[in-house]
Amino acid sequence: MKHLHKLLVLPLVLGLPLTASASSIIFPSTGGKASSMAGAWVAQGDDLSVMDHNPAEMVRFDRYGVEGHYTAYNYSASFDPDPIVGIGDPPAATNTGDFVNHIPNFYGLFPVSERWRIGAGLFTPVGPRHTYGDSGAQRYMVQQAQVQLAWITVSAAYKILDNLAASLSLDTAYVSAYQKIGLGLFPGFRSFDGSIIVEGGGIQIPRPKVGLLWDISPEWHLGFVGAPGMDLNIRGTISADVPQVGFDPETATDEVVASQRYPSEARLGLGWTPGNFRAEAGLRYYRWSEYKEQTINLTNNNIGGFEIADLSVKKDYRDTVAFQIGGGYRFLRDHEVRAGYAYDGQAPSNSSLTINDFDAPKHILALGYGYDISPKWQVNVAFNHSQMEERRVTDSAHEAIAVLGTPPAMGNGLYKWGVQTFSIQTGYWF
Amino acid sequence: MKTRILSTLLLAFVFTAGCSVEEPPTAEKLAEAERYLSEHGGEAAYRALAFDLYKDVVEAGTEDEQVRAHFGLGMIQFLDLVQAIPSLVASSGGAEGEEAGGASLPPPEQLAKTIHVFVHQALEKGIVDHFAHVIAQPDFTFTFENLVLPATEPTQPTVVLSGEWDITEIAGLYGVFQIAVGAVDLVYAYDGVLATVLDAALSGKPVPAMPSNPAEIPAWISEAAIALGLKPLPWLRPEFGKLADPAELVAIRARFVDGFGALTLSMEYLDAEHDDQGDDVFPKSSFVSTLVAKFTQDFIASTAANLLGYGVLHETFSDLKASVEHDGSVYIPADGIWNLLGQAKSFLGEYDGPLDPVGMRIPGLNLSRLFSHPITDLKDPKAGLLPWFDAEGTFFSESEQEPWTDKNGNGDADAGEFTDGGIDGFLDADFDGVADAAGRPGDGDTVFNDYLGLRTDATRLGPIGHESPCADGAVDRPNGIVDPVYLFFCNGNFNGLLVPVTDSTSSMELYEVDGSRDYGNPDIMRLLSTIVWLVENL
Repeated sequence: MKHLHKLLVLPLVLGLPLTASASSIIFPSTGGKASSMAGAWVAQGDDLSVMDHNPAEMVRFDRYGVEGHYTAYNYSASFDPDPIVGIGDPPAATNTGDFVNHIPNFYGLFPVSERWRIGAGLFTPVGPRHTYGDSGAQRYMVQQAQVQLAWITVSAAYKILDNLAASLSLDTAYVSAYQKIGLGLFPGFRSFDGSIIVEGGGIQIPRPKVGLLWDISPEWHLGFVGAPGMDLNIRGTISADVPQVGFDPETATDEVVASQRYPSEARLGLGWTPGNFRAEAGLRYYRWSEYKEQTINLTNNNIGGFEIADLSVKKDYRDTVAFQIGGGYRFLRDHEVRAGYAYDGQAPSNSSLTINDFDAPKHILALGYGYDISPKWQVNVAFNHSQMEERRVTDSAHEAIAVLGTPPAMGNGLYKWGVQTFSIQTGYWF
Repeated sequence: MKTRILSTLLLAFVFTAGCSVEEPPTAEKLAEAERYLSEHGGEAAYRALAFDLYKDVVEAGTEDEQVRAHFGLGMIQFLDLVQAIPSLVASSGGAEGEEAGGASLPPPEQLAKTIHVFVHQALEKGIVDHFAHVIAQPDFTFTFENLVLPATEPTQPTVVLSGEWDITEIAGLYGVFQIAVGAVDLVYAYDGVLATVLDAALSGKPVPAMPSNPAEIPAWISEAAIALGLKPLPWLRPEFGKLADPAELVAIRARFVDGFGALTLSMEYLDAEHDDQGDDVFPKSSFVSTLVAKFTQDFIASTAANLLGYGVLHETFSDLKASVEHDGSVYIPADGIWNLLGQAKSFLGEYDGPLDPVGMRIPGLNLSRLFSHPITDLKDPKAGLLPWFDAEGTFFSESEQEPWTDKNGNGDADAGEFTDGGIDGFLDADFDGVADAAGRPGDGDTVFNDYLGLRTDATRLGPIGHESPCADGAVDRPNGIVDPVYLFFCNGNFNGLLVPVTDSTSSMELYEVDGSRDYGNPDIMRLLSTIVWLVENL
């Protein structure tokens, strides 16, 4: 009982699905239309979700409009750990509980003048809560995670020329996160487990986003959007619930400021709209290498009488480039079917993967359908399936949080991840 | 119409995805948990699975199911403890945690409190409380098909505990952990003691080498304590070692009584077993030796275990329980243990000192005095537990291994120093009682290397008394042995805890309480000196 070990190694305190966002399916790639074309919506998008994809596309709209979107997001993750020396062969773990997340988002657009458009959007996932078993080795990665988010975008687009537009947006968010992670008094031994709970929230500093749209010809369109990286910060509490050593979450607690980086991004899309057919191919670049660490600064540096230094979890991430292609065919004047495919790379190194911080090369298949009930009112639906490649990790750098002793490597094993989304959107143009 | 279809599809998708799976009945959970524990009990990963299932059964199962679940939970905690603690000890040598963690342990007082909580949570709530439900069911058994604890080090063997476990084993574990909790509670009841021990144990600082001169040992104790960071010396701190709340002793005493009672019960169940012992984890006919062999291959331990039957254990536990429970009941080890000590003489080389309890001054224990007449301040020089010490905290001491204890270094026997009549600790090789060519007896060499012997002859090794600092004019009577270090425990029987033992006049047992006198400091010093003598001859 020499020292308090590894209490500093607190993974993913923000709980944000950062790497998953690289897959183009969580946010801001929302919308029943956009997701049905695998997010290829930078150059020829024609609904208000362009505020997330490329706000310069707002210049295409000449009327007031409002849209409501809803996405059901079904997430599945599993981890089958390799046998651990001294512990045995832990069972595989999968997420359970409220793994269907409900994500409504709303947009409104106002054409100020012939050249100016302003718009606003609200993206609000409700109740994305993931619960994992208390028995598996993954309990030291995550037991429960929940993120509430209100992502607000305010955009203005200006038609510089008849075929050239630019936009400037400010994105900000209120992020609320809760995460419960197993805390091993002696990691691996269930009866000595407790937990660390981190929860908090905070309004993020607005991030600017610049968009460009160039209609090369009536049929060809080129879109670009870029945004710098931003630091996500949450203020909240960290508390330890380890009854074996008298840690009561009411008293074994400290205030924290947790920070992590959301990377710079750039998107380029080439759209083609000949008659009843349309298509777009695009590239999206995320500069994940900016994301080098998570930091957690404690106010009093004391939890339950144990002095704890500020925490820093190093991250080994690489930049990713995604390829997106999507198309739609309009028939019977009011109907459109759409399909898309996207491929996205893997940001974190294999050794950095956990069930809660998982990423792998992704193949995203999308299907969708739209119906214009009237010239003013449309309804669209979409279904996406994202299949990640499996990852067998043999050199995991993940360390269980341990109060005492040196925890064994418990992050090696086979990871699987997948997601399906179902989206419906409707919009009305005045 | 189309909108309605879409809405229906959406709702179906959402609600079916969110439906929860029906919980299996507790009987199924119990069966699954018991299968994990029985077939994979040595693997912490499977125990983790069983742990959560058992918890569900305790919450919602029938009375019988709950008993079995309590056994499972207690065993899981026990097995986790058995596996985790050695791993922790093996991984925590040195001070690497400070560099690696950036986290540090809390102050000793806080850490002591944390450990006290841990003992109660892990041992009492985690094991004792669960097993309490089980030992109330006399017919309870559980068979481990495969319970193999992995070795903590490659050179260590695995520990095989497969077989049938019944009340013998469960009550035994219950008793051991109940007593362990009681012992920690007893230490914790005295302010600062546990914190001081932890402070010293965790300091990681080197301790100066023990001096070869035994007379320097008391000073070395102070130096070592300071080197470990115990400054000021704990026994100089006013708050150290005071009994915080005597009322707490009532519960501690009850815990000891319960613990020893459970151990006695365990042996009674073993004695009453008449079924086939072939599948028992610890068969009746070789209970102690099998138990010892599971955990150690040490030759001495194995030999001792072979000589120790469960009848001796039963008598020991029963006597200890009585001594704690009843005022005036003195625990004297069972004859079987004395016989064992007699057998051990063969390991002692040329040792020719005393081995019987009377000769060694092994005391009987009136354990009830710990609670009925507790020491209220451990550091009190006259009524506490520590030997007499001066204002600087150095223990007052003398030595009998040279002609005098020359405290001021002037080479003379001054007031407060003593002589032994010019005869040093060496045996008179030719038994002529005079200094001869060999230079002894009576010819000290100023080095504390003298023979540890008995002072039984006034000519060669005369008896020595010691002026005691405990009271004016007090003198410790000669104790008949050469004491390398002579300290002064003024409360020599620790408030009646230690009781002198003498040869029994009864044919029923070898030894009995010596009611003619009190146990005192000369007895303690003779016992300690004998132990030193024994160790030197091992």
